[in-house]
Amino acid sequence: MNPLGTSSDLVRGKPKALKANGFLYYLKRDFFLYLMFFIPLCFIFLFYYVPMYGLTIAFKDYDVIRGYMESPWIGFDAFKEVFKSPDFLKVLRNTLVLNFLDLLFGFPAPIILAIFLNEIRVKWFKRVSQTILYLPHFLSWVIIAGIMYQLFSPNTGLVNILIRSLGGQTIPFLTEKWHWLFTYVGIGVWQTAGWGTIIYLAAITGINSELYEAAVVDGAGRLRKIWNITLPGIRSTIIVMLIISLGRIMGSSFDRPYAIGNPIVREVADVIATFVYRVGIQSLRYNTATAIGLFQSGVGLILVLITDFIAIKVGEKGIV
Amino acid sequence: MKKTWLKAASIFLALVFVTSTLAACGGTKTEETKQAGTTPVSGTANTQKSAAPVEIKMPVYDRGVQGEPPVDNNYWTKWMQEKALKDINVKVTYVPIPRNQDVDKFNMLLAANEAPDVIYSYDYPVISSFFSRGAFQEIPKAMLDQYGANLQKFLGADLLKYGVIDGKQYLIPAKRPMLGDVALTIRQDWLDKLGLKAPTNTDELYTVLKAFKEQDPGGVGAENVIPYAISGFGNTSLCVPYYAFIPDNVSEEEFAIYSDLIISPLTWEPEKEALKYLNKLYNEGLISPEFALDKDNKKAEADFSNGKVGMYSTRVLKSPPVFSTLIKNVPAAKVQAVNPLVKPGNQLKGYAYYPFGMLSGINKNSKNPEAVIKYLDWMCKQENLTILQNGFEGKTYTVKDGLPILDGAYTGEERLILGTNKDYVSVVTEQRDTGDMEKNIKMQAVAQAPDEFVDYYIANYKESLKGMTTNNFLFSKPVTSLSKNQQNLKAKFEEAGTRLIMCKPAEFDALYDKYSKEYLASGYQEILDEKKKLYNEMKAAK
Amino acid sequence: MYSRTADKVFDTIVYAVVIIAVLVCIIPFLHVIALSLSSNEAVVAQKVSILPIGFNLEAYSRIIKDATMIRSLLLTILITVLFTLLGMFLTVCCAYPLNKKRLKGRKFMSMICIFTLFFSGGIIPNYILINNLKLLNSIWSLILPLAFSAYNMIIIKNFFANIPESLEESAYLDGCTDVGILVRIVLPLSAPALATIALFFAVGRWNTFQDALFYITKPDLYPLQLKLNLIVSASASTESLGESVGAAQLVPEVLKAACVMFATLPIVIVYPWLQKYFVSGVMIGAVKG
Repeated sequence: MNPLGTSSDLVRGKPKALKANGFLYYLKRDFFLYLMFFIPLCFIFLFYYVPMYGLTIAFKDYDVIRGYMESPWIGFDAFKEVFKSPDFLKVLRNTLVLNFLDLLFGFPAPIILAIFLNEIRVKWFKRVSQTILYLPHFLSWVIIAGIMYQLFSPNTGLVNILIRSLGGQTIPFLTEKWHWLFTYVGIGVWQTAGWGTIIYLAAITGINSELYEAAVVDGAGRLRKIWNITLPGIRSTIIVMLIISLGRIMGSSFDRPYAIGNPIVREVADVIATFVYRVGIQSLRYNTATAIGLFQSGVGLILVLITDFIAIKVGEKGIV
Repeated sequence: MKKTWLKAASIFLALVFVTSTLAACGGTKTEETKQAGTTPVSGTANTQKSAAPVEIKMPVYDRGVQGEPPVDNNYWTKWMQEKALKDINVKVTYVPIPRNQDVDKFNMLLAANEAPDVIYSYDYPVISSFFSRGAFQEIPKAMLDQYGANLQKFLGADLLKYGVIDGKQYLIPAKRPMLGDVALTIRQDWLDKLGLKAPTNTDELYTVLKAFKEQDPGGVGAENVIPYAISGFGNTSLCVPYYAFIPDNVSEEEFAIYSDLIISPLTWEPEKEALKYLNKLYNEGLISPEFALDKDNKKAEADFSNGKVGMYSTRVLKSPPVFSTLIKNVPAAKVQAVNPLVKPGNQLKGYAYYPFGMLSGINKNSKNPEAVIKYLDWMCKQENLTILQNGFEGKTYTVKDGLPILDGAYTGEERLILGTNKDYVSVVTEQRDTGDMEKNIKMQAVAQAPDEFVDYYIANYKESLKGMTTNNFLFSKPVTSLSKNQQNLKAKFEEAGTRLIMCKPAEFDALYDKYSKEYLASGYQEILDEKKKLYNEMKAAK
Repeated sequence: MYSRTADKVFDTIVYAVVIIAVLVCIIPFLHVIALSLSSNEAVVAQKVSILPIGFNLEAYSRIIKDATMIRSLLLTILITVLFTLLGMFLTVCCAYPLNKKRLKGRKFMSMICIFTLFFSGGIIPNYILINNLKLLNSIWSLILPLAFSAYNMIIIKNFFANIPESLEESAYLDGCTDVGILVRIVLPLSAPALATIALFFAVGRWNTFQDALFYITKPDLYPLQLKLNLIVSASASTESLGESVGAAQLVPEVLKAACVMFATLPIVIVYPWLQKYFVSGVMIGAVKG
């Protein structure tokens, strides 16, 4: 079937039994495509949507022993309890601050790094560097935290010992809240930048090399080439990654704040994930945990839709 | 077009809704099939032999220790299964429970109706949480008398009392023969060098610590000396030694309400004094300067084994090899056990562990509770227990000085799981018990202590017993607000305690008031009120 | 002349930045390797920096000598490979149709997928489902549920979208079917993206153990990361093992470090092999104008 349609299709009142522009028409025309989609749809349905009733736990006083059906409905009580708690508002603020900083510094880093890596001509060096840059991704946060404390502790940390021996003052990387924030973000960048370059490098390889050759002929230097060819070439990838990252701004990962945080900086280090872990999971208040998760997901989805809308309005492709 | 989409969307959503709800129902059917086994044994015992075996599922911790056979299928599980089948006609299957995620796993199994017949934990608050959610069935005295005569004798009526909640027996507590934990260790060589005696109260301790700091008897450098090593707050409320400051004449009620193993009594006067004491020590450089950053105790261990520390609280175990490393680094080091955390004029007080180990409850949905009792009863028969805990002479153990000493190097198939088969017998007892405390201590010392420290282990153990005088008050019902708020309060106390210890002495009082208010508002007041109410009820019921 | 100096300066900056980044990444890693090879005492005393102290292969020999470990390794490789293949298949089957603007209902179908990026039922309903499907203690419980990844799908969809439509149109005009276009044009042109996704699937599956923790109870079937994680948390557990006898216990740090090696080794081995797909210039001459 020619998907572009035959000239007779443009005529109203198609001779065939199928309604013009009716659902069945499209089904028949693109049957193969629908079939293709159907396979993952089954997986999505079974493994994501079927258990989705779990979201309603947020509205019930759930206990595993009672079971789902026996647990009574409590409406928005769990939500009210959470939002009234001053602790929650604090962790909400912290989460947003940390995520925003992460985005600010952590989003551009892999892009810049990828572009730099792409500029390296020496093949073996490029390969080796890439592999090494991926390594932090594989270290668990517990290990990273251990190393960090050995390096950055105020009295015994190696970095501070070095600073003092050079005549400087101890820097409270981990014990003063503003310093801690930046250390936290810095470590985040360190751990994710290398791995993050993979996707941008893949995008860069998709750029037509003829464009580069033409640019050379036009006398363009390296920076110009990057600015005019590489960046625009990976623009759609950047937009997509940005949309997804913005969707995660209300999200909260547990490992990093838990491992790097300490009681001294708790007022800035406590995030939604650590809060949920204490109040929701360890105290077996599943409905609280689910309610908070629902809130986060809802905000995330809305943000993604808004950003996507904006992206399309300015002419980009978006993700929906 | 929009209409068709809407139609499609609504059909899809309807499909999701229907399937979801069905799935929800599916998980909570009280399943009859899984638990039934075959003919449940009831009534008289003589019909046993002819009846089909009764099936039960017992949980067993999976600690993931590398090199061990699967915990649910190995020589010893087979040994137990065969013997149990033969002796009491009970067919046992073992359900592995990951040790560090045991609560989650139990919850998961309960949610899917796959939970074993027994749900257990070492942690009393965890078990009471399961209880208040209705996870257990009552164990009637009649059942215990009929099927668990041996069990009752083995545990003793006093111990069984700990398993009584609200007047009914719900839990079977396992025996814990060895109660000693850990006393503070002090560098005897440092004391000798300075000509000082071991401190016996907080004032003397202060003097000794100051001397350590100023005179550096270990020669490690003035900035490196850590007279008293502590680390970030652990899992119990005892990290701050408030017991030292509890007045001797404290009323039972006050003690019952405030002292708690899990939640630190921040607003209580003894706690305030303890924090003030630590604050003084901190500000004069007498305790670890970075204790707040040492969340897993590794720094304190490192400092101690590097010889920088004067006094430190840690178990004398082979692993982690803190003591052996100390000797390697400082061959002249000598250690002694001390108990200086007591206010001058007070009696030595310390937290005494409950005499029970594992707490087991019978799953509400279990169809064969009698079989569970029979199994426990069977296990604590001397003939079975001895073999389970020791193995076979000449192979898994040898007799030295009249004591069975486990041979860790044996590699035959009869090798005890994890060296002690502990996770199988833990439902009835924690350790081997020869009936003689001295012998028990000696056995444990040989097994657990690094070679050069066997004697010290024994000395330390004995010293720790001296301090363990006070049992926590046991309420007849679980304190529900405790489980609800405990995690939050623990985190709050970490922050408050750290700040109070690290602040300048002049700021202490104001800061203390501020944190106390916050603490009460975050759920502590609720706990105090509930405990008071429960206490009064218990008193009235007497 | 100007541009050449500017280029040289630029080059220097690039190399400097990359070298610093590489050093910053590898030094902590060397530290972890050193830990895994050091003696217990040195680790407890926190004396180890970049080179091992008191050379000690105990952790590795314990892990390697353990037959169940080898078995677990092979099982995990099998699971990872199956997972990656299934994941790639589902991703492509989903992304390709969603990329066709002419497909009616496209936005709705897309939303169905994106929704799963944010909402999920939670551990307990998932567990109940797996239980009802009788997949507990089966490797399929680790392969099927997470095989579809909305994140990966969005990425691939974006890459497909970057392939000029004119290419596909000319293929239609040449009489090519949808399948043909997919197989002969779209997939080869997306090789870098596909390799990337394959990497994400494989590494993701290799390093995730939280689901196995609850779905697999037979120790025979523990995937590698789960086993390693249990080992580490076992040796780090502060609860005294009663009378624990037996071979000297390893300090948890040493074990942890050795485990990290096992986590990383696959990627270090696999990645160079995948490198060849990240080749540029595949689009030469494909489109005119």
